[in-house]
Amino acid sequence: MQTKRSFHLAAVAATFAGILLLTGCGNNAQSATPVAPDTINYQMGWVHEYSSAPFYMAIANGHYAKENLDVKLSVGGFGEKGYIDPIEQVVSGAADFSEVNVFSLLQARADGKPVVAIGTLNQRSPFAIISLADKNILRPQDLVGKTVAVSDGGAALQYQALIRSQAIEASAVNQVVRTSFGIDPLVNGEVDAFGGWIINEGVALQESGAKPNFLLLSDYGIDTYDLLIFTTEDMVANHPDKVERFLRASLGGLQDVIDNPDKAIETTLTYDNKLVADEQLRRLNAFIPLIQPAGTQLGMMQPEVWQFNYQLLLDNHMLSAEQEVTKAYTLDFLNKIYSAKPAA
Amino acid sequence: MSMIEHSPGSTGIPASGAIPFWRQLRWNLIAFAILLTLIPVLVVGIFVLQQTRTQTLNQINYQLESVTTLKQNQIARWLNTSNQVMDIFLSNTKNSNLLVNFTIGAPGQASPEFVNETLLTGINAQGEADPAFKEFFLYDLSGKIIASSENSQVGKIVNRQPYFAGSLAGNYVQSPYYDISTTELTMLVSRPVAGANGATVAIIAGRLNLTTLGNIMTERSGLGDTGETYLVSIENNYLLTPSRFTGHDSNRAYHTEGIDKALSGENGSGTYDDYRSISVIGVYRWIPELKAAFLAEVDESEALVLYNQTLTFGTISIVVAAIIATLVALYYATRVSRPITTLTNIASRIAGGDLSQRAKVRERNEIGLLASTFNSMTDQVQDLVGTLEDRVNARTRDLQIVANVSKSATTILNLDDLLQAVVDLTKQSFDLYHAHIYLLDEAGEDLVLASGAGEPGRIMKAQGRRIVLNNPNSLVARAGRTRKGVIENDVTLASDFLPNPLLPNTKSELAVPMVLGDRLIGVLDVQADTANRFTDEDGAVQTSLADQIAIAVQNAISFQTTQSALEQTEILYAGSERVNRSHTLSEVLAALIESTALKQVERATILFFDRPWGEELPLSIIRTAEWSKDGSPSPIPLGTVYPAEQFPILHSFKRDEPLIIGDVANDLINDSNARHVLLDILQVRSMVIYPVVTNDQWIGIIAAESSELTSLNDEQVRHISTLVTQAANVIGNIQLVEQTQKRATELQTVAQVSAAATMVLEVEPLLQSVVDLTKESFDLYHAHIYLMDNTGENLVLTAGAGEPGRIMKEQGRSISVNQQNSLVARAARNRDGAIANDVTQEPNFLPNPLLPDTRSEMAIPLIVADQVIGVLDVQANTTNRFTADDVSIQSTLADQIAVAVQNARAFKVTQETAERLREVDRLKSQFLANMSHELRTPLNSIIGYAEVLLDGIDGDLTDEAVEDVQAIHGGGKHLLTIINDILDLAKIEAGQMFMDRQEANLNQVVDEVVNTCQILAKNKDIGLNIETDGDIPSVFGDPIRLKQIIFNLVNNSIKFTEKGNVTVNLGMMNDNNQVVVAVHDSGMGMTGEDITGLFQQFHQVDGSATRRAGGTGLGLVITRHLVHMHEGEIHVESEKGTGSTFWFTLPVYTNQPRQRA
Repeated sequence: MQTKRSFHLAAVAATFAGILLLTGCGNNAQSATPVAPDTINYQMGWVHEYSSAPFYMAIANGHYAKENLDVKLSVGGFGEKGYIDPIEQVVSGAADFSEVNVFSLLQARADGKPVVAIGTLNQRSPFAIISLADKNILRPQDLVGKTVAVSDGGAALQYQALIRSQAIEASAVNQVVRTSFGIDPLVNGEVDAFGGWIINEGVALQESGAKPNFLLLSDYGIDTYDLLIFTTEDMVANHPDKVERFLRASLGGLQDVIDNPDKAIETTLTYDNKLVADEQLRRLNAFIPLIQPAGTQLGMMQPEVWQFNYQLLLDNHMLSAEQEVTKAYTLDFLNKIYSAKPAA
Repeated sequence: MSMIEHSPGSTGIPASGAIPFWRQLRWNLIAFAILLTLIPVLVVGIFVLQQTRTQTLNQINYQLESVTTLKQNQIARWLNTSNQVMDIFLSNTKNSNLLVNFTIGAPGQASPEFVNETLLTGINAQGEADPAFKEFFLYDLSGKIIASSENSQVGKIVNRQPYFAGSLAGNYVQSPYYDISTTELTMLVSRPVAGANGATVAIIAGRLNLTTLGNIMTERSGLGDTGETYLVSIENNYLLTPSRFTGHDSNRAYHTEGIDKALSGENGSGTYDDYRSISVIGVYRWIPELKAAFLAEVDESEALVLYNQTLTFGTISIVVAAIIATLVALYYATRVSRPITTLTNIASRIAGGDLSQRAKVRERNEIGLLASTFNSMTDQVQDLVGTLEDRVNARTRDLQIVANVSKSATTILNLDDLLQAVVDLTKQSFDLYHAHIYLLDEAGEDLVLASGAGEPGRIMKAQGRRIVLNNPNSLVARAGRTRKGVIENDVTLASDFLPNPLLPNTKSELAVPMVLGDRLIGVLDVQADTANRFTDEDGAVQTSLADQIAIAVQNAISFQTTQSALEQTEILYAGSERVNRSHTLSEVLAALIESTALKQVERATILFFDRPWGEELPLSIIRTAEWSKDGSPSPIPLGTVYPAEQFPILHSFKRDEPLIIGDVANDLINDSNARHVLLDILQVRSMVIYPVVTNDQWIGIIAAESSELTSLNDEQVRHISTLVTQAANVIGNIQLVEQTQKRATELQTVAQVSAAATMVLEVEPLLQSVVDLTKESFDLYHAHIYLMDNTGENLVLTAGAGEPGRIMKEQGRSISVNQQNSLVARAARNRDGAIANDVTQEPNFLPNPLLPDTRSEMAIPLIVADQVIGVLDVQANTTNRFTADDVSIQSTLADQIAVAVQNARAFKVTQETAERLREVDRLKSQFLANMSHELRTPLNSIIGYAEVLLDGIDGDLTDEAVEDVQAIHGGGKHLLTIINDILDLAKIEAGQMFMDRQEANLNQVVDEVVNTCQILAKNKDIGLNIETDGDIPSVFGDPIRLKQIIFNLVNNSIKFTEKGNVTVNLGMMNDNNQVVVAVHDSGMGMTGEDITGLFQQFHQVDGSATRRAGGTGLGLVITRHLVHMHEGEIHVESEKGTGSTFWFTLPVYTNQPRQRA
């Protein structure tokens, strides 16, 4: 009986015996020789928000680390001593790289400041003449007889260029200076249209439930660069390797933002948890098409756009000196990066 | 078989129920059957399910592949058709000529409107509801749109669009791209438009209507409830055609395994999570024409419905099979196991002693054979057990008796009763002639008869019968000596037998020693009236009994010894318990005396030393608690204090042992005071005094007193002494609690007095409340306070309690500090508390007629900052009222009073100082106002003459002189502004800014200010405008001051604005009751921090701003004052870098002007 029981227990055991799979784990850990990373100080152009997501993503996804860079971000906007001027920060050496618009960069160079653009975050300008749909402003000619608010400075230059290019009599449009930055004047009917960014006022209007019409100035060949990445001539001349690595890694972050906007906003919120995810995502989604318009390479700049903006400033006597515009920027790094790695 | 061979009485055979079920035959068989059934079912089931799944997936895949092929064909056809539409439009030479001529501006060209219309017609030529194109547009070689079916597109420049380069080269199809202006994915077909010489002059492009493509993709016949086909563009991974499911925007990136693989150019199929994160079965393709991923997907849950049904069916089948297998196995297993179980149960019962059980043999198999073998074996066992039984029974009975006897014996704790019970029971139970017990005496020499059964026994015991242990002839002695039982089965034959006349019939005798350990206790001797009555077995039985008795005897003896000790302990214990439960000293005393039940003690008293007996001897001894037998109080009240020095007897106390005074009259002959108090007042004739020592401190004594000459024996003294030792801690604690409570009450009073003191800021009411509270709280006869006068030589009565106090104060009572006999003066001189505990004994005591009952008095100096400022004097109507403790308590109080008096005096001084300072401040402003005026006059001359010089009235100046005079003029003007500002502010602060408020027209004021400031604005090239919201009514204000307010704000805004505009806005608010004036600028703006400090004097935004803008920094302060004087409010809103808005309100003028502010 003992024997019998042992037998059937054995049978049961055999029936249910599994096959033990032994899996070996190879240890592939690389023993890279650690070289202290180069520290890069990046001066952000504004406070923490979606527009800096490329840099957050480049840090979070290890693009900088892969280039052996330790990038430190400094928040921009208004500090204790007023507006933090990115150009001053870079020229003084407080920051290695920063972002600025094309007008400021050209003016700074005219004033003798040795700054050079190495790429751009967005290739198309978000600047548009924004109106409510019921005003039926579909083309520049529709502005005739209307009141349009445009801020002083670059915005006014672009607006006037548009009016000129469409051969509209300047006095035919009632241009007023835009002094407040909300959408109220438009919603309240104080003005028929104003110059604004589709990713700011445009989205805000959509959020308020209004139906906006946009006249994108870039559709009429009037395009600017708003977020040029720049550094000093010294850096370009003496540390080209650092510049190339920084630009390549930053473009990696930019690509990550395009590929996964949700993740980009999630990462952005880790820098400022008071931001509202939905609002940020809507703006980023509006921003992304401007970053990489169809058929372009990320970060690429066009000489004709530079020339156009230089001419615009020159014509309006807004430069303290003439200059060779092609020295204000360099495509060397972008070309090098893209020749090494064919565009996706 | 082996299991049944165990002898009965061993651990026994477990009943089948006791075997764990996993070892039970039945369950093993059932498990085996189930496994046998389930394994094939499972194997087959899993195989079938796997097949079903594979087939289902294949089928779904096939279906999706078919759909994919179909849709791909449709897409290709759609593209083809679209190209044809474009070609057809251009193949019409009328159309192409029109476009060429329009482009090159040939003479007689068509109007733009006509071209646009033609393009529109071209789109709609097919007449379909959903035309292939949404827009046709024509652009020149520079990329400028010159005509379009959508007029609004004309004028745009497309040279940076992705299709531009391609479209110049020839026929071109632009795969979907994201169009920033339409915010849609857009697809184009373009054709170059060639001029007469064949050269391209323009491009015509058609924006494809992707709705048609969407329709193709969303046509979902054959795709079930969840299947869908859709396209995802490589452009940002946006949806090219809509999702079947709601809530998924086109314009956002979608990544899934299918999408990502297809977009990387891979074609395939698989199961993966789709963009909704739901598992789908999908087929994906790369569509190069559209640069898009094509996906055909269906939810896995829907696809696998059939498989899931099979799975459910299979599971149910397996469960059913398992149940059937179980039932069948249960039936057969029961048939096999039941006879075995029966046999096992019978074996169990036999093992349990029931030998009558036999197994019923039914089966004719091996089990039947086993049962009959088992039965015959049981028969043999039953026979064997039968003979043993009688012998065991007899022996058992004897042992039972022994057990009974010893059981009875052990329940009796009195030795005599015990032994008597033993012999009686032994005689009776064993049916003997006689039984008795000898016990060995203490000397161990004689065996003394301790008890004997019946009358002979009683007589023999009364005779005190004893046998010498060494008696060689005694059976009993022999048993004692040898420590072995001795049997004499025929006494008549024994050589040493002595017949006992009381027991004439004794024939046989058995003596067994009672031994405990190796000590002989005694001998049990039993006798029978028949010969040969005792066997060796009886000897063994009686020896066993003797052993038991020995133990019982020993127990009884021990019990008796411990019993008396216990009684003593219990008394002490009860006493000690009662002591510990006591909460008051009299309870402790009652516990001490009553629990010891000492009839002689009539009264007991606790007397505490004022400080523990140590190197310093106590000064006094206080009668604190008492107990008396009849509950009557003693003639001396509690709380009476005896000065220690008056009682020499105290020095004969020792802290470690009680002092017995057997005869007060004789023993205390040397201490007349003590003798007097005890003998004459308390009528004590004898007493015992116990020291009370707690925490190693001797704090007092307990006296147990009697009115008779009596004495306590040593034991009684010791008892109380023991209890007193235990009670000492309790007494110590109670004393501590009482002291703490008393102290707390006193401190509370101090606190109350202090609290009252801090609330009263005038000296006399303060001190009055202090004396009243002190008298009441400390239960005193009187309290009053003297304060030192300015000379420092007299103490003047400042406050006294009650009516006597009031009268004495009216009398202006005062005491010279040097008065020797005054307790109050002494306290002030010595800076220390002074006590008189029996004022009648004080030399030169003058009774106060207002306070006739004063018996004791205490005076405490009021000292603050090392200076005596007065004396607190308290009086009681009993002697010996105050102790050193009271001095310390009252000193605390006195300190508080002293501080309070000082505070009250200081407050008065401070108030006077503040009043003076306010006057000085007013004078300062007054002075400033005057001085500024004085300064302005000469300054006006300086400025005026500088202007005269500059105007050339006094002749031409050299260029250098002009420069110098200009500097003088500028500096003077600047100084004048500063002085004006200071003057205004000084006037405002001095309350001398008077306003002439009247009906004022604000429009006019604003116009004037703006006109004045226009030049400033022009100099800086900034705009200065007025905006007015509707009609602005008149306000109630001083026009000059209003102008100053608005000028300050406008001037400020211009100063801080580098470019842009300054705007003055007039409007209404608060139901048109207030006018609002707002000055808005596009200047440098301010941070929140800047704004906070803005209206403070001499504050400016930051140093750099000041350098650029200049100013005194007083403008906004003055402005704010002025606005407030107009019952208005001023506010500022600003953002750093974008500008600031200052706005203020003014009340509208009415016919009934408000009162001037």
